[in-house]
Amino acid sequence: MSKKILILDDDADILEIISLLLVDNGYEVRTLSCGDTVFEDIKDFQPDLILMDVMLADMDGRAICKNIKENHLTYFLPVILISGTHDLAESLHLPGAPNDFVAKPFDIDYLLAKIEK
Amino acid sequence: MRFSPGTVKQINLLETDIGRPLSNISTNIKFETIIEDIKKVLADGSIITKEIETNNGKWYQIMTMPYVQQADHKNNGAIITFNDITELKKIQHELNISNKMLGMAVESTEMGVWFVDMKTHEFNPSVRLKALFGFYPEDDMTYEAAVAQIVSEYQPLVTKAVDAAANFGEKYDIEYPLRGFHDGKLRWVKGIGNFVLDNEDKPRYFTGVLLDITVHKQDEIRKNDFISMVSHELRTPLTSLQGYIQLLTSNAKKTDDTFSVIKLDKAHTQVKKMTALINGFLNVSRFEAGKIYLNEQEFEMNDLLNEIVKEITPTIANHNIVLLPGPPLSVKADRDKIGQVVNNYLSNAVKYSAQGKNIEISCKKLNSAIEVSVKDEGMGIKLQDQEKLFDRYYRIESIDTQTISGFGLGLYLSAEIIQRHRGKVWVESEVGKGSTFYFSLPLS
Repeated sequence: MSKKILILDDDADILEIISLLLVDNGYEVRTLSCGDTVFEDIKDFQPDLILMDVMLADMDGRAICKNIKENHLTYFLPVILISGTHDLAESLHLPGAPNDFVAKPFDIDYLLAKIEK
Repeated sequence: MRFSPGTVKQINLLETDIGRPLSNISTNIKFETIIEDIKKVLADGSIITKEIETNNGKWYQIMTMPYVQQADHKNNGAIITFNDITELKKIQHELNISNKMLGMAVESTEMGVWFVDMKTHEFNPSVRLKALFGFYPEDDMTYEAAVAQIVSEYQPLVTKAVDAAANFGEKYDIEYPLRGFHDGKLRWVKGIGNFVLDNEDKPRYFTGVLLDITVHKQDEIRKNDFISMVSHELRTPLTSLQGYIQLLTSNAKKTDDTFSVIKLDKAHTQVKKMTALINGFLNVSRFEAGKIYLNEQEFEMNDLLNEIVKEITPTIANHNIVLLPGPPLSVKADRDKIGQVVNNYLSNAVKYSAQGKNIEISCKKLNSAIEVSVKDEGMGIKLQDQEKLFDRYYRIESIDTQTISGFGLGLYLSAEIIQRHRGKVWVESEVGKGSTFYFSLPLS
């Protein structure tokens, strides 16, 4: 069975391109353009990995990530943050941190390698 | 009355004046001004000095003292000595003027001034300096009290700089924010200090000025925020653009559409170039905000150089890049950022040298550092440009460089990165022959 990835980004083009590329590479994908329903979607879709932007229109990706990591039902889910400005390397060791991060603009092969990990 | 020959010459006393009452003698000096003094000296034996200006513009220090004879210990008269202090007065006057002018300059630029007596370690701030730190003129502001007003994360920076200046004679020139003691306002200041040496060339005073640079600094911060915001906004569309190109490439590969694969590859190269430019700007604003973190790890310098040469060679058609063989050299540094520096040196070498020329990279071990160099056979750099080369936005203006694009950020960032590693950057160059750019990293 193919691995499932939940993608969260407020930019429609980014969502489209990431999901196209991931589907192309054999992943099953669900896209979300806002973070409001993220917990219902996790419950419903049961992803193996969550990929999300740091800068969402209405919410901070880091806050959502922290919520996921602090919830006993979802803490084990790997999260990769995508960021345009923030160099998150130094925040990886803090509590509630994502498992990894990718800086924009990313090379899709690099992203796939991170996802594989 | 008796007098010495000097007196004749100096104050124009005449032989015929002997025996006449003082009040009737007219010379360059108005004697009436000292008659009262003489009377007092005769009466109680005191010694009186005063400074008098003569009719012809000279100044004398006149000392009137009792003339006491050994034999009877009686006060038999007054000895009056004239000491020409004209020159001294002139110097004093000039000094007053230059002090006044300095005062005006200091006041008009609103500089705060301070000095520390190196013997007593007493700290003397000017009123304006106290005001910059938010103290009232009548407040007693100690050095410690001043330091306490500096924004806490900058305190070690300032005290370190003062120590380095006091103990090792290093240049004292720093910028830091502080919060006023009474007004609580945030101000950015620039401090410049200097030592005044005593006769034995030992530091006697540590003096300095402090300038309010808040407005300038706020502009700078706004500019950096702006650059950082713009860079971020540009990255998002660039990300989708790159994604679409990659998607099209993989489709074209599936259908063996070689033409599209090649053209898309070119589009991809352009996206990469643009990304590098944006990253350059973003890095500048980050460096200036002090937000760069080094991710130090142990690595082989020659491996890194090898990797970079391998990566860059396919993109450079017209230059020969050669990595000179060297022993494996392990160093602890931020591998990615050192890679950026090497890439920057290399791309400059390519940019500023003619097609078909050689570019040599080498790495060697010095006593307690490793040194990496990139040598080109390019146009070379004039001596007066060499020292400014690593400044931000600095680009050499000349006919040769007019057609070469760039923002003048690469070397500035390289220098910043290497300096964060406590290393050094420098260049050796000869116009028309070529340049060699170096950096060194300390071996822990």
